[in-house]
Amino acid sequence: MSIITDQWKKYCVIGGWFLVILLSSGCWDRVEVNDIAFVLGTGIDYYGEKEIELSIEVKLPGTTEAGGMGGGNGDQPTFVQSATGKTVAEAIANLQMRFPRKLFWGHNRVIIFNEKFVRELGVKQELEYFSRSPEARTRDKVFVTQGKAKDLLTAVQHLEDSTAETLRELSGTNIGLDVSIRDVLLGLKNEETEVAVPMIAVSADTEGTAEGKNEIELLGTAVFKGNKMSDWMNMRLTRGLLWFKNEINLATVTIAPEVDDGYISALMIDAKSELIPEIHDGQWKITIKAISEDDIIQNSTELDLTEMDVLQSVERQLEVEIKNRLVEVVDKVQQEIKSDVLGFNEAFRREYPEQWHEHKDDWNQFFTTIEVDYDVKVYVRRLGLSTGKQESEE
Amino acid sequence: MRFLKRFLQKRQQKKQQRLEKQKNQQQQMLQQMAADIQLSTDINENIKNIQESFHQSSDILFRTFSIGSSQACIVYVSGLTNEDRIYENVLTPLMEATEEAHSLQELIEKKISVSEIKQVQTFHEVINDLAGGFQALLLEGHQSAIIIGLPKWEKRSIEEPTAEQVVRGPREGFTETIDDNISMLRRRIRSPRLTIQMKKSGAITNTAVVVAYINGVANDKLVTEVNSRLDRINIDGVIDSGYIEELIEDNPYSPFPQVLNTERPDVIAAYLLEGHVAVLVDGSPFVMIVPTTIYSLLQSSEDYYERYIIGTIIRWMRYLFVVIALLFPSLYVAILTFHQEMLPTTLILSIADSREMVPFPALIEALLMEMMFEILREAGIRLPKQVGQAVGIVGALIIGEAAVRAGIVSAPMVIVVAVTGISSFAIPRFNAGISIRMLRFPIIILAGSLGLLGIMLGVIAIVVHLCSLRSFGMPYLGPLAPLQLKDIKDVLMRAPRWKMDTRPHLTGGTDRERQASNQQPGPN
Amino acid sequence: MIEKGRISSLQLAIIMYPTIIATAILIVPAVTATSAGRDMWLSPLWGTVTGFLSIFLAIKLNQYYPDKSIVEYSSDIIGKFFGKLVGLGYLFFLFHISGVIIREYADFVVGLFIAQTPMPVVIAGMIAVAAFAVRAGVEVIARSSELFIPIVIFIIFFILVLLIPEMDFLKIQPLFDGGIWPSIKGSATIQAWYSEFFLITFFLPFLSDKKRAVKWNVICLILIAVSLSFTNLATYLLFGALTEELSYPLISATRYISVADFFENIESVVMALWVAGAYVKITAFYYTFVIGTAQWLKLPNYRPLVFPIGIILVISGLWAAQSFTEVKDSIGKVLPFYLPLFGTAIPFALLIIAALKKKIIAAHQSSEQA
Repeated sequence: MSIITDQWKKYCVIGGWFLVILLSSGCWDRVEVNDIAFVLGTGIDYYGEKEIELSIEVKLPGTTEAGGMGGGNGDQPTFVQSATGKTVAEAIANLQMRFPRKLFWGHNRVIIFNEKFVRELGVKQELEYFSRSPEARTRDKVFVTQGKAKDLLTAVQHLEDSTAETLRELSGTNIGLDVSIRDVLLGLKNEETEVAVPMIAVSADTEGTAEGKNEIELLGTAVFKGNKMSDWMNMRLTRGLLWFKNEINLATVTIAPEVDDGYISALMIDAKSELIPEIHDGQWKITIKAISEDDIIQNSTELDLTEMDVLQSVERQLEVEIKNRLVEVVDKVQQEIKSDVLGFNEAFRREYPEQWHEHKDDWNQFFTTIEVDYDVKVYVRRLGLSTGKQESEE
Repeated sequence: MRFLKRFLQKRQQKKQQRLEKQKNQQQQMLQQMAADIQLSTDINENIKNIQESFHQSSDILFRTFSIGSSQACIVYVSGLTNEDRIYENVLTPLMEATEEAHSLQELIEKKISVSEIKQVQTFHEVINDLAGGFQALLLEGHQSAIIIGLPKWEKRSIEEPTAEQVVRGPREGFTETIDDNISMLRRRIRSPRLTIQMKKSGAITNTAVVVAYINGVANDKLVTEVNSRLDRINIDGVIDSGYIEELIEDNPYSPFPQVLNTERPDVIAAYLLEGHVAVLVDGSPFVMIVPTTIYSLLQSSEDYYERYIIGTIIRWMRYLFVVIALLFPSLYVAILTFHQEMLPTTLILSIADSREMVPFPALIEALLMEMMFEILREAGIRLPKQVGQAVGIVGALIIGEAAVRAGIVSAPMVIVVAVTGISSFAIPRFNAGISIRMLRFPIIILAGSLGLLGIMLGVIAIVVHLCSLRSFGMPYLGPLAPLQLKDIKDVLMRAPRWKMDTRPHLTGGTDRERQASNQQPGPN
Repeated sequence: MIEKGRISSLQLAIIMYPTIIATAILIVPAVTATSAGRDMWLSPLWGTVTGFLSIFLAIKLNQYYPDKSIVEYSSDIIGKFFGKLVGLGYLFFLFHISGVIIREYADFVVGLFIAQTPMPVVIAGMIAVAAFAVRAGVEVIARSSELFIPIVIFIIFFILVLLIPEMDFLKIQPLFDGGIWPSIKGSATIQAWYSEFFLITFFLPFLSDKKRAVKWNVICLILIAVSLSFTNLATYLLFGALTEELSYPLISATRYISVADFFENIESVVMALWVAGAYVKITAFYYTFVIGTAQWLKLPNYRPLVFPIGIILVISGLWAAQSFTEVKDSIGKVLPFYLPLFGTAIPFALLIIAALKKKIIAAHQSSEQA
């Protein structure tokens, strides 16, 4: 009887298959983690009409605590390199020539555009690369900077290891807008709200910082018209804009009650807003309904907030304060910027698709004529740990 | 196409021819055994023949004496006999007898006060029983002999099984003596339905093999199947139950054990109550349970002794450990060399930094460390108990620490290997743990060549293999695949005692009801 | 019979769920978004009409010929020559469609995750595993899909739940902006997937409980429609009008998942788990192709065919398309007609002939009796 039975044959065949696969599998896509240069942030600068300058912030190896090589202290854990090219892809290819390790975009978190660049050339063609590449992600945050993006990446901060990390944390605080590549690309679709991107710059105030370190500050919001940036808003207006986008969170509102010299500050714990469109007899109107629940965090007046009617009057004044902020934003957008970043477009499309279709093509003109109504509600829920007031100095 | 058909037919024919040939051989052997020599009336001739067939072995003792005037001789193997009782219960009464011409029957009835006794005619039976530890009484002028059962040998006392310790539960374990083992089972299941069938296996060793089951609870078909598989065995010797296990498995090429081994009588009793069949082998403290599923290999008897919520959670964790033991190093390799984006930025950066000085690719590093771990584990078993522990600690601490410091491996890899190793030891059955540990190596290689896709292909291959496995006709992954909703209560969780009203469907026989329902306790 | 194993109707449904959803879930959102836009979540529900028809035809034909598959009973219905021809047509169809499926799998894996790995290796790896299962028979295929189906359902559920914080639920308003027609147009592509349900004709003879076949297959179809509808909805809520520009919207969606800045970039895990679904799909087609061929050739055993056909399938996967564009193009333009032709049109014709034949014979017999 032969040793090679049918069973054996079967297993030889299967074993053979696996062997073929294993042997033929060289290691095509295998990249050791030490042959990778981790790109943490990307900056895109204006470099003439037809070219861009791409800067990347790359992690230096051996600079984390776990490296255990003693490095770190005082050493900058990242460095910045830049190259030019007609497209992002070409610039990356040119950059790669300078790197012995493969540039890896999987951990890229921010993309910073130079203001001049977005005003002249727009963002779409560059972001297209990032939405197509299997390495980069559409979740990456987008920023516009007043100065050079490269300078911003080179800046060293006190708290975080890299500019990219600083920016990522900054966008998570909800003080300014939080905009990802997806949001920008979606905004570029013609039926959507216009794009608004947070604007940042290296802080000019270097007092108190160590030598060679610069903090980064939020300046406001860059407002787009189509693909290109057209105008910008300062931080005060940006806070108002957040109301329209229903992204307001932990804002502080301060009022000066008429009866007294001092101020009362309230912290919004929970805030919601809603745009309610209406069309009556061809009259287009939109109501912004803003409701917030607040805590009083400072009271430098003589008012006793533990009394119901005092508290109610404070609530009314807070409402007026918020409303003023909203009016300011609407005035600015409707009269100066003339680009619908407020989201009226979507609101009308949802409720009145037929009428909306008529004005769809010249919306940015049309929307400036829409009447805006304000419905602001403030509820003060708590007064903090002490409910005292300032004693009058008599 | 006709060619293909003819080819298939030919294959079938060949197979049948082979089977017939085997059958013929077996029959011939049986016939040979039947034709055996009768004992002679001449006692001296019988003694001479016995001496010859044992080749003058020195431990065969012949004590000749006379009953009245006729000559007699008692033959036994000195190490296997209770000589005190031979003297007390056999020699003394026989030698004191004065009457002449006893018949054998009379002797057995009146003189020899031993409970296990029988009469045999053939020479073959005499020597087989002698080798088996029985004593033979030969008498002048009789064509038959009396076989007396007064065995005695040195044996280990009952101890706690070292490989399957529990915090809560019985502490006794099986020993090498099959009679003791059977007695332990009987003591647990005091019912006439507990059936014990003994057979001999091994042409030379003549080892006792016992099939135990509970009548009516175990499926009759299963019992027949086990018996027929045991009868098919034809080897020279059975030294441990492992020999039998290898010869009765369904798929001999599988890395997974298809028979459950345990040293614990409580486990065996529990399985018998679920309709499984136990196979005990003399000389081995490991008793086999068939059929078995992959889940029973991952269960510990303690699951049933502890509170059911704890049992369920521990079971789930154990399933997780299996996944870790199988996949953790390969996931590490795949993520590090293919999917670097998967880890949070700070984590991947610190891993990258710790690997900065390591000369090997992650794949080689993983294989190296896993190998190292297997060496330590194997050495730990072989070394004497007193040294073993020291080597384990020294090996782990010194080699791990020194290797990281020398920059041969990275610290995260040491952590990965250690976690993998420890979770593989959390699998209650050693043989299941070891097959999972061995499968880790091909998967690491797949992970190193195709990343997560490779791991998944490897896992699919293992799952397909497990799905195709059967243990004595029962699907290895049952009751999960194929799905048996009623039996899942004891696989995905450990249902409370008062909910396990029926026996598992796959093993059970006619007697399905396990207990009265509605036994949920509570204040009255 | 050629296959000794028996499966239950539930198991058949468990095979069919990943068989249809595995590739559909990747590509359907993008294809339907193009024509259905905001109402794309409705399209998978319209498409079920084809699915119901396919199930009905397969089961009805099986009732006439309980032990046979279409490759066998086509000869009984329309004569030996034409029957064999139809059988051959089905074999070519299975061969081609398996190639397309394998290609979809390979394009997805290679394109997104392991770009430099040669496609033959990726395909051969999968075919090797599938061959292993096909050789082991229908029972093993059913059992392994029983183990993998929780994974497939889990990833769909998991992705949808984790993305809820990112979704903008107002995006799908207004409903039916362009009337109901765009969503019906969007279902044209999806119904091609549903007509793959006719694959059950090869499994029906192996069922141990045929009575419940209708029930379970219909449940399976509804679950598929609901799953697809939910994925379409989720991707649109996440990407809005961008959906149609994405190659694999669901994967783009998983790339968007981020929980606590720790649990992110998990698309590779989703890919690996999806491969389990792709395995079931490829194995199901592979198995039917092998069984169909063995039945067409009237072989007593199908196992010797497994490895040769495996090699053929590797090649057909490599030849099925030149590029991803071609794959997507054929999904959008060819498959909506091609699949229903074999999934519904031909079986429909066969069923009518078979029914007529039966009536004629019955009439003939009754006239003879009279």
